[in-house]
Amino acid sequence: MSQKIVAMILAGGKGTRLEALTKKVAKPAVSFGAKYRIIDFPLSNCANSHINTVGVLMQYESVSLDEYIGNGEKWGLNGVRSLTTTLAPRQTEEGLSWYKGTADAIYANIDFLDQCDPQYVLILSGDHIYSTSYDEMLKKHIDNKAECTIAVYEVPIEEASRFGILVTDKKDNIVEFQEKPAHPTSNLASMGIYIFSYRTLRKALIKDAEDENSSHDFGKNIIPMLLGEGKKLIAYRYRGYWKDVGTIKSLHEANMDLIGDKADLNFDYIMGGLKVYSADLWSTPQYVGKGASVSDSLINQGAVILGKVKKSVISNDVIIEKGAVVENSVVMPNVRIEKNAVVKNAVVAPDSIVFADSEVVAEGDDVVLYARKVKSHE
Amino acid sequence: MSNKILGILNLYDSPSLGGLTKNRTLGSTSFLGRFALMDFALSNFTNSDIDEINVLVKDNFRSVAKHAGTLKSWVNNTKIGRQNILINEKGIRDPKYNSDLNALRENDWILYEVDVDYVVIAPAHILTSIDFREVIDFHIKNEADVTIVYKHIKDADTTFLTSNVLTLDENVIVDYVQNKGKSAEANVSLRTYVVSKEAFIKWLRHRDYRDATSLRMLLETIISEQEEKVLGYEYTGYARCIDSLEHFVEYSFEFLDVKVADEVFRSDWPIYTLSRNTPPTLYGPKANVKNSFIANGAKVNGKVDSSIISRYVEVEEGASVKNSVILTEVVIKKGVKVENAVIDKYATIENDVIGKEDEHIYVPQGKKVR
Repeated sequence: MSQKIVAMILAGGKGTRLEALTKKVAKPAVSFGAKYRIIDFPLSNCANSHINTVGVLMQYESVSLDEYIGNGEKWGLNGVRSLTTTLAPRQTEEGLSWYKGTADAIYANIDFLDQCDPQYVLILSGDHIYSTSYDEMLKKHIDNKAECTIAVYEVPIEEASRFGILVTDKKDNIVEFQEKPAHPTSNLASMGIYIFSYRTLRKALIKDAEDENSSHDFGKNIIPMLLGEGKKLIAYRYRGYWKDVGTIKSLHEANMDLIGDKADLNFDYIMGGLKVYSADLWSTPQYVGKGASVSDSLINQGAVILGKVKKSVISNDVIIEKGAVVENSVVMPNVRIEKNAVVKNAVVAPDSIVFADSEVVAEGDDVVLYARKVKSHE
Repeated sequence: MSNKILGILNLYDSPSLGGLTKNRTLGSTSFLGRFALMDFALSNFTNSDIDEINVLVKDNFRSVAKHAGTLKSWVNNTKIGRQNILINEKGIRDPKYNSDLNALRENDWILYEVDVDYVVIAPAHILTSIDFREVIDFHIKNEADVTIVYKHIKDADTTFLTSNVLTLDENVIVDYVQNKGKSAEANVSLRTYVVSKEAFIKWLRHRDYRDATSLRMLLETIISEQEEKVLGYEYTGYARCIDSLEHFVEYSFEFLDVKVADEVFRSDWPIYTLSRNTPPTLYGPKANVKNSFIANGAKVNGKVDSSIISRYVEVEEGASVKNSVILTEVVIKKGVKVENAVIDKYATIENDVIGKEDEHIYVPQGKKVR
């Protein structure tokens, strides 16, 4: 079995800063945009790039994520020439160990890659929101005979010190990598999306694994190593919508990007061009009731709106009862907001109940996370 | 699952809905913004653990193929059971003989090839949530030769006029004639039948029934001869017969009543449909929506009241839609008023379309109303 390109999606992170949202689910499985899970985006991107072989590397709360990924059918990645597999840490002859870093996760599955025998390996992050095809990036990699191509995003220079920054020459050749530099000399932030020629990657991973001082991270270790060896690394400038949601606040913000004034730009960009695939839900049609009012919002099928919804993202199977008001909020699947409750500047976790007449409100620019799960097994 | 059952969705039975069914079967007609009418009967098969699912198609094959495909949306286990779209190839060449019974005779191979005990036949135009397992249990327990599912209704003078009326002695059907709408109270046939595979094969081939040209006629003959045990099974749940554009509209709007919606959309009885990976509905700042179903992919920035808005419909700023059914990818332009209308797919509405409350105006597929 020889595949030209294999995608490896890093989906093992806990996403600690997402607090209760990732208490029982891995960050890539967190809900987004009324209908999706974050990992739907990289997986749909793979499908839309005709990448047939995808490995999803998981570690934190792998059972529910594994169940969600399944055989890749949700993204059509289960066709006759496709292979979707989840790769969790495993016990081998050498023993048992967790993934020690992003590079180590790939290294631990080098047997899988050898078996696929790809020319190129695409390394993706499971928690980025963007809709694209990787065709152009791969073409650039091939045309430039690069050993590694890194997707970069132009950030305001004053924010550059928060990112891994790549310094390039005029031909987009990477000359230097700066990890969260105090005085950045470039505004090209690494997106953590890499295309490697597999032979180069394989050698680098083995060498890195032997280095006891390494933290086995692509940004911190593999890229500087390759630069040091004088390998040809190039930058690919990504220009569409792209978000790495790390906190409740940024998750809220990314949801809000889909509606209001930004909808024309972002909604159409993310959801209007290439399709984003997700789980099929056999929900009922979305119903907006007699006394309801809905404006400036994104609402999924299966939602029942009997109250007032403004500037909000409402997921499937959410019920908003009479007199309830939801404003500037993100309501995740299967939530019930009872009569006359007020939800404002909030993110409501899946399966929660907001009780009648209660308030879930943050003031000003703050965003509050509300998680109160209905426990069915107790 | 104890009994092996073959399900046949009979699209021959469908009444016309005017322009709406000109180029599509009634079964492929959009319903509530996200379903096709055939989804209800097909989901009843799936929810009743029926693995062998067949669709008997008379005409407008393309519309069935587009929606049903290989029927994989209604399959429980992708390896168990077979799904077929059945067409009467002889009937296409000679439409005079293209009846459901002849189509079944032509496709009787499924009865020989598939290992099943019973056959269930259901139409697309009568919406129900029948659990066929219960009907089969009844059929077996009472040692019936055929079981016809019926419902006792109190408006038979205006509804189910395309169905037959049953007269029962205990649960034996002694009379089975076309509903002429003479009395309001009646037992109407839901045109849903259960029969053992052996009996069905026998009847399809029987020389006495050679003159029967339709399934209904076959049953009428069998009942009048009183040689076989034909029983009525009373179903008491939701049942509506979509036999005209006005009924289509009326029964669509009926779902806006939570009581009706809850009766049909039960968590233990999902209605499966073709998934199209459509993004959620986007409401603009000027949206004002009341008492309506809005499908995914729609963009609403105008006023919508008591209406059904399908996938990828756009209601622009200042436009208003009232008491209307809007099908897929219709664009309702700025400031335009649509009232009491059924607007078919891909139409562009640039000028007002106003129908009457009891006579909805129909705008054909792709039409540009200037």
